Amino acid sequence: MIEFILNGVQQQLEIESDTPLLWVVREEIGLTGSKFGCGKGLCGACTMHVDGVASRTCILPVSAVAGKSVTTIEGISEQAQHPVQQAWMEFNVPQCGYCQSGQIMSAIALLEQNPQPSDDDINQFMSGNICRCGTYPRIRQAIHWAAESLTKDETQTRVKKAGIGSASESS
Amino acid sequence: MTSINRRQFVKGSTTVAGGFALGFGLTGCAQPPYPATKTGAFQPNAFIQIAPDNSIIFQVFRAEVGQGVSTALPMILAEELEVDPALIQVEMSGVHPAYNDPQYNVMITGGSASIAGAWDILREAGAITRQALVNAAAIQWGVSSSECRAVSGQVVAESIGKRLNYGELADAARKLPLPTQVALKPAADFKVIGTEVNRLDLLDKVTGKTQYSMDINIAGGAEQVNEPEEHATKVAVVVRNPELGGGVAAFNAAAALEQTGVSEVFEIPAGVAVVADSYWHARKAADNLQVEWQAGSLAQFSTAAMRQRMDKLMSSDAGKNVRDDKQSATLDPAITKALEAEYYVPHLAHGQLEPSNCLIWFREEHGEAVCDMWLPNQGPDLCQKRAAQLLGLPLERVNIHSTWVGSSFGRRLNQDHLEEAAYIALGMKTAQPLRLMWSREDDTRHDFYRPAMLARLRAELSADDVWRWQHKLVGPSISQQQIPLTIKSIAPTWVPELLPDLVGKVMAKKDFSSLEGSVDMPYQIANIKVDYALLETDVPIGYWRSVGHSHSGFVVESFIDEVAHALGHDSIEFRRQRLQQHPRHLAVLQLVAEKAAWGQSLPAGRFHGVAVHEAFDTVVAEVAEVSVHEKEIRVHKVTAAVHCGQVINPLIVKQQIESGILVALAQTLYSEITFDKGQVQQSNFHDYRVVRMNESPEIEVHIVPSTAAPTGVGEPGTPPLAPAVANAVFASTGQRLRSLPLRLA
Repeated sequence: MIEFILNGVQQQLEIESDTPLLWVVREEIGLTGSKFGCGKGLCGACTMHVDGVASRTCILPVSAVAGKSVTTIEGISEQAQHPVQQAWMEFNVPQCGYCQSGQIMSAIALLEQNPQPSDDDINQFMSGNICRCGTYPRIRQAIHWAAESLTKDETQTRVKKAGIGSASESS
Repeated sequence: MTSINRRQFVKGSTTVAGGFALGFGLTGCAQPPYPATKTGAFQPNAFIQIAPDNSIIFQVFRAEVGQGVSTALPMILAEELEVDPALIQVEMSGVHPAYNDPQYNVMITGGSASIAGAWDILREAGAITRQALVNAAAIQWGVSSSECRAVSGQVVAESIGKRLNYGELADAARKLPLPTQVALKPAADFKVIGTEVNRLDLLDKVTGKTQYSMDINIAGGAEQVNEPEEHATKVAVVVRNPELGGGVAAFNAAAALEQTGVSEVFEIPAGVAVVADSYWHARKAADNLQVEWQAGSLAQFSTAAMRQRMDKLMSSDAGKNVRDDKQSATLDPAITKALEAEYYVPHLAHGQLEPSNCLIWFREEHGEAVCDMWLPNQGPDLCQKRAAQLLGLPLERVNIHSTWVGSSFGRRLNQDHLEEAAYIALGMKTAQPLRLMWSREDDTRHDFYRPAMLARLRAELSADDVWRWQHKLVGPSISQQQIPLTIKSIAPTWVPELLPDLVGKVMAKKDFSSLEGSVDMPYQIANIKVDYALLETDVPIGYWRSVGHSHSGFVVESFIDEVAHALGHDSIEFRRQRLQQHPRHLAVLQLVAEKAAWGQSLPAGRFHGVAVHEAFDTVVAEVAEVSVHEKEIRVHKVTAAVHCGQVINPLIVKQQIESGILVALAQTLYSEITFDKGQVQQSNFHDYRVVRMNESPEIEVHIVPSTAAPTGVGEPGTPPLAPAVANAVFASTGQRLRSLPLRLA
């Protein structure tokens, strides 16, 4: 029996402990926003937060998240209210969109640990998320814009109050 | 010369050079009803409908692979319909002859042709719909139609102070005959076309809501999770011979069948299918499968051996002449120098981020066999026909659901995922829904590759000009493989197998998908000769973003740069002088030179390279700003100028040129597929490298304003990038790199 919290909801699953978290979330639980791109942790399409840390879940056995808190793209904001999601729309980042759940989860994790990242910081942190459609220049702009937005007090308050994002404790 | 390119893909299916038609129609005689009708809606055409609740619903009839057709197509119609495009709801369309591309006569997404093909049709459809609503209001109010006008989703008659929204007029409009003659807006009146409208799919794509085909869950007709066991969706993976073209000699499923969740293991043409209750269970079981492989025709194939065969063909007289221009009667300048060079590009995998997959539900309903399939595809009518063939069903009982696609670059033009899913469904003991899943390794190793091509060029120079340009290409023909596949899938069963292969062979010798951009290279040079020698191959090859232009751009734009340099000319000026008959080329060269500050000093260590190329009627010029550190090539910035006629949405045009550049950058610096002992040597993104964030340049796209008919932008950003970078590397190092990916000595 594996127990963990997913988007604020307690999970109790009878499942083989070596099952990658990606497949547990997609097939057992049924949340399909996190994607399968490579199965080897190389493309980042499967990125979720585990206790706030961006993780490649296609190679993360579910046993590794026992007792932890996992957040997927579905747990950020259904109406795209997180400043990173707002930034993504402001700059028309997505093309095919397949990598974008992973990109957004990585970007949110980046800004939580580094609220004012430089271009180099962004490049390094985001280098694990492949986009074949080539949205990288827009992602860079969007992350800078979201960083600006997040430094504003009113944005921080709104984000916390609405329980948007993995940093929040409210369910 | 018009760029024929991929139009040969299907045109060749119905007529063959030499004039005999194959004699069967691609579309039915009677017009079927428009699909996806909402209750009570006014549906004057297959594209748009107005529901009584004022919903405006558009059928997206081309594959949305990221290129933005799901926004740009409704924008065209919205202009004439006088509605805000942001209010339009879009659905992926079903199959209907009204959705056929006017050139190809099938519902294909490709050749960067979606907007160009739909431009007239959608404007007319929008105008007729608008006029029908105006007429309905006029009749209702007892005034003449000329006293009414459509504005922002309403019909208004100011003279009598009345207004109704389109939904309120839907019922009345349904009962009236449609207007047959409508005037279309002049470009000066456009309010939507040419404006930066936010993509309509943004919200779903930033919240994880977009449903790609592997996200779709079905159970007994309802979409739900945790379905009862008898309706539960099975998941299958296929274990494939690592040698291309090989088969299965024998297999032992005992260990695989003991694994948790596995229900069946059986052979299909592509390999051995393992069917289980989840992807992980299927994948684990597949790892326990023991298979004895059977060697096929490619068992000894290697890239090294292929290069030798290419070299032999290049040096021999083999091949056909495909162009021989003598633009001046006498050709007797003092030739002082000949330049010769060979260029090579390798095979490439598509690397589309969503792996191949297909969901199929083949079962009985009311005593009749019926099938639904959900899959990423670029031709739902071709899919429907192929599925019907394989499953032995009439067309009307095969429902193809086109889904949002996680990029393609031409990958989804093939139907291998559909075929495998059909064979598995046929072989399964139960009639449960079945999700076929490919791994990244499957996709890398069992692709339809961009073909490797070898080119030899020779230019003869006098002291101040180039007089002769000779270009010989050696490589396989995409048409030779792909056209027979298409014909087989759409031909009635009585057409003998031999015939599609014959058509393929005839097409192969002058295959424009190999020659585009080479045979029609635009520079004015006194004598131009182009030859093509076909390399026979069994390696599966297919369409990769910009197809023949993906190599001809690199070859032609690098060699013209070599010529310019040999004559001591500036790269842009040299091209300009020889493109005087090509105003679009001149326009983009001028714009890119200005915006990239060509000729002005750059920071130390940085160099510019330029290239201009026309693909699918669109012309793009790019300047790459590059530096070289030891053996590492860094691309800091790419400035692009594009001429694509009337722009629908500048934002989407810019996105597509950015995209074309970044896909090209991967093949320029990193990607290659190589073969040894019949096997692809690469497997995943660690050894089939693509561009990552920390390797991606700043990109600036500038658009030449135009009101000419729109041309496509999905692919044209790709061809100029490799030569622009290679030319910059030359400027920086003096090394002329003539193979992709670029590797400094």
